Amino acid sequence: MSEGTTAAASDVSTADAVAGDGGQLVALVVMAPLRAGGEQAARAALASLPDGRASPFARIGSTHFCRLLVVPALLDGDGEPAGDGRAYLLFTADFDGPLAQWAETVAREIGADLDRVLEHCEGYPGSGELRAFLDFISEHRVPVGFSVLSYRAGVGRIRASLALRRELREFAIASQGLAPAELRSAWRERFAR
Amino acid sequence: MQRGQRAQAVTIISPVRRWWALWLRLTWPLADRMSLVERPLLRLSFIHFAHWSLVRRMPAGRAGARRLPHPYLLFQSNFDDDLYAYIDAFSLVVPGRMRAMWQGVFRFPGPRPVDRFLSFIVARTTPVQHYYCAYPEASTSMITAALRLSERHRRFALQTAELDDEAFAVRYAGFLADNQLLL
Repeated sequence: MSEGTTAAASDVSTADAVAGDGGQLVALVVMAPLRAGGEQAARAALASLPDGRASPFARIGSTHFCRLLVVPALLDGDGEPAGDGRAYLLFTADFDGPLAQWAETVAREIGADLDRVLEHCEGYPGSGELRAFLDFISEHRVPVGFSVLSYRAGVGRIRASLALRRELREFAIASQGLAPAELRSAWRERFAR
Repeated sequence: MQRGQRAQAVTIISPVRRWWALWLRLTWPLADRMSLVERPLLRLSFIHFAHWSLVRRMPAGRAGARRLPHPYLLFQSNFDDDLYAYIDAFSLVVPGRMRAMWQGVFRFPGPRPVDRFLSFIVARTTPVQHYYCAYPEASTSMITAALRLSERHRRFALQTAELDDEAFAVRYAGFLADNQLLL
């Protein structure tokens, strides 16, 4: 992990990138201070984002998980606001890398949706200029130090595997009692594509 | 709680003592390479992905950036179903690993008794305003089972491609028996 230095958008520390499917599973953490008075506007923008399957991130097929939240203030050891008491936006995502490719897709496909939230962050240049967008991400990127991953596979492979599992279960039920020739024929029809 | 989906999000950002931040920076690279640390956490079987980070400066990626009043431990997890059950399990099953991560957080009460640990976690959880999961209907166990089953199915298809119908039927029965816990 490099601390206090600007990492290029394509640089990924060992902890940030975990190989899976022969590719790269990336954990991105971006934390940026909100402009003075921007906390409520950021919250309103987040509230306006559709969630679940209608989330803008559903259009980014390589995204496993994504979250956006407002950190009202960083606290000290006594639970009181620390420092200048400013609020922050936290934007994290787990996706099939590399980062530059994912960020480019995000900027192209859902840039306008993301801009409505991130525009309340200090120094946010917008998603219109890719280089500036990537630089903002790099500048505000927090390295991941330690991760626990229960599986290492791309989104496509996970979805395909879940679908196959459902099909195999259905087939196991539907094929009960079939004679060998019928079973073989049904198997080929269902799975030999 | 995110409605209508298995995966839930929890985000905790807590100030830590500076010496503890140093401990984490020294031990994380080792822990990341050792399955010994990760394995008991994975056995809990309800973590999709969980990440720990240290935030010491803002912006974190800029040389010479403003130092924060304290280092902050940022924990974010994607897990199945219920935060209380999640924390309960951590407290009961892997208390040592909880101490190894959280001991230097201000006012950390220890992983036990679990109700104090749970209160500590809940008080420091920052609500997530927007959350997306690519496979909302699937739990961690379902995904790991599906990935293993997919690979076994691929091998089964290869191994049985040239068999006659009778032999295939026998092998298929064996495939179902061997994989019933994954189906």
